Amino acid sequence: MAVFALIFALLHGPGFDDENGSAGYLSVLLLQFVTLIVGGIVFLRWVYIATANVHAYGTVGLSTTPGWAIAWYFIPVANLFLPLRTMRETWQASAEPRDWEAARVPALIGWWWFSWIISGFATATAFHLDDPEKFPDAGRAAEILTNVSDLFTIAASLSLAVIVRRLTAIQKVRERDLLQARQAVAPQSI
Amino acid sequence: MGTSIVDGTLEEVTVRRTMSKFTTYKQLIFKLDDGSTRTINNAIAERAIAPVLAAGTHGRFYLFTSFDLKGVHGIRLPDGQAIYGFPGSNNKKIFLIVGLANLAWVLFRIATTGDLPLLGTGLTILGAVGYFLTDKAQRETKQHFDEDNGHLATPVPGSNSPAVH
Repeated sequence: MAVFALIFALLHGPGFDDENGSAGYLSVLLLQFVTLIVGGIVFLRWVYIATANVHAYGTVGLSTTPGWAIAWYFIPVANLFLPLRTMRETWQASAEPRDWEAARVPALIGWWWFSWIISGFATATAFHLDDPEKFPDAGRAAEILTNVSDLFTIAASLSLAVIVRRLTAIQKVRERDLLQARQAVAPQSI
Repeated sequence: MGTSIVDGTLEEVTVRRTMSKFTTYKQLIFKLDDGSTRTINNAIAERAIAPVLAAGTHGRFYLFTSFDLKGVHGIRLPDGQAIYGFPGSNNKKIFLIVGLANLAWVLFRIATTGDLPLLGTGLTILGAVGYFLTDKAQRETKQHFDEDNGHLATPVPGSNSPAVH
């Protein structure tokens, strides 16, 4: 949706966000909001399951429970850095459940969070500037920031898609290994 | 948010900074009695515990994680020494002050201008959650350490000295 929003904005040129702006852009903006809500719910469900999985591996010393892993996204200020910590820990504990803090974390997780935060700040600033009474000359700046926000949203979404895919694959392998280990110690029926 | 126990030897200690009330560590690496290794990055320890956290120290280490901190809150050594210290007391006070000051600001703004300041509201929520979680961690670490009272710290591997109660 961010890609479509960006395309619509670029095709329309300056003024895409004002009263006489692109009707297509406004429609895409609405769809983008709906997608964010639906995608957010799906993503938070995945966060809960992924965090619960690493607890199920018997990993000790994790700083976040599955419930708090979701709650961090809604606590002001803490939501700037604790979701990143949770994602890093979930990755580490999935890769190496025993000595998980020694496991390396891919830089992609840092890039995902950086893009997400920049996107959020750009959106908030654009929204703040988009007030003709308070900032009569800031319309163009707000539009540029909206475009910047869309660019970083695209980067964050792509990074997150890769992270979710890779982490899910790691956890699937881990679960298969655990299942095989349990079957190996279970008494064999005659 | 939770507590755990490590029985073993502290193999590697990398200090980041020593303050009057606590010491922060870049990394602590434990060699567990079962032969495995456990690494703790970005840890903190209270000043009563910090002097004992040196490479080669053997015993039972009590670890915690809370809202914004993780580290060592207790040690039991083979010679019977038992040390407890929670390093988050200052943070608890800071969260309380942040929460109350911003709550006062929010109430003042509502009473005078009628609008709700977003930053003040956010910091009030942060202060409340931070205080609640740090206080919970403080109580849990104390309980965790006290409930294990009487534990026999294992002797240093290879030594013949018995563990002391």
